[in-house]
Amino acid sequence: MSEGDKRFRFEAFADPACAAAAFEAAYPPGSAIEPALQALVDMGAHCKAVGPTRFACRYLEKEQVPAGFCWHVAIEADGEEAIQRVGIDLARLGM
Amino acid sequence: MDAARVDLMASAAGKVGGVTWHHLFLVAEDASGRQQYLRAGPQCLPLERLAGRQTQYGDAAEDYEPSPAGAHGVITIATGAYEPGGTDFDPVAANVTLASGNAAARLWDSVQRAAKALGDEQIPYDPVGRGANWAIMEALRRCGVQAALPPKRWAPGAGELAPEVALPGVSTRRLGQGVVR
Repeated sequence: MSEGDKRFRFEAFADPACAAAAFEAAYPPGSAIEPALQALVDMGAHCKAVGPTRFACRYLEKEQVPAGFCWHVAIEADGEEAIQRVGIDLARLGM
Repeated sequence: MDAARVDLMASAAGKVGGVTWHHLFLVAEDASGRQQYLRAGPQCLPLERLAGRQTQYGDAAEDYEPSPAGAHGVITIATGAYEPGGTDFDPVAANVTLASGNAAARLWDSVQRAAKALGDEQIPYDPVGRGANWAIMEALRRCGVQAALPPKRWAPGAGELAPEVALPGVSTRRLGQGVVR
């Protein structure tokens, strides 16, 4: 994928399985975790370390009034800072 | 789960008029530190929110079936492990502890039952009335708990709904906990 094609957007998906497959294609297991985390932060996700090699990210889509999508991502890396596992979940938020 | 603590959580969810609104949910923790959430949400989102999106089966809009309950369906209750990457996990969510020790175990059992009963009522989801925040607070109210929100957090719908006031020739629309005429 070219750089333009590679940009992952949660807004293109409506279920976590499809989003996880696309995310894994862009940031496959074994690749460096840093670009994946950077991409999530760049798109507006809030990421936090929840362990020595584990990160939790929360991405709120822009349109949340009166209801919208909230994505949750867990990324685990190995000692070499390569992605080992990615988990993605999707919740519908509403007032 | 034998809860040792139950917290009411408020997670930032968006802005209305420049003010951050919060999504409320409950988190219970047992003595080993294992955590579970209890939350409410809309059953679905309107078709226009699915346009151009993909699911694992293809175009999300193609599989869309409108709910007879309205654009957001009914109030849906869910519970599960509260963990990184899972539903509602937010390490910076504000919290207030509602109960701890034996009282927490009793509250967790009763609020789960109350929430399930509420879900079974198939209440149409009304984002400006009976919505997710209302449902969580209502489940607590049905257990005799009048919970205070975490300080300085706005959670539209969290208050008890006032009885409908019918004024001839005046249309009203609830917005959060106020009434706009």
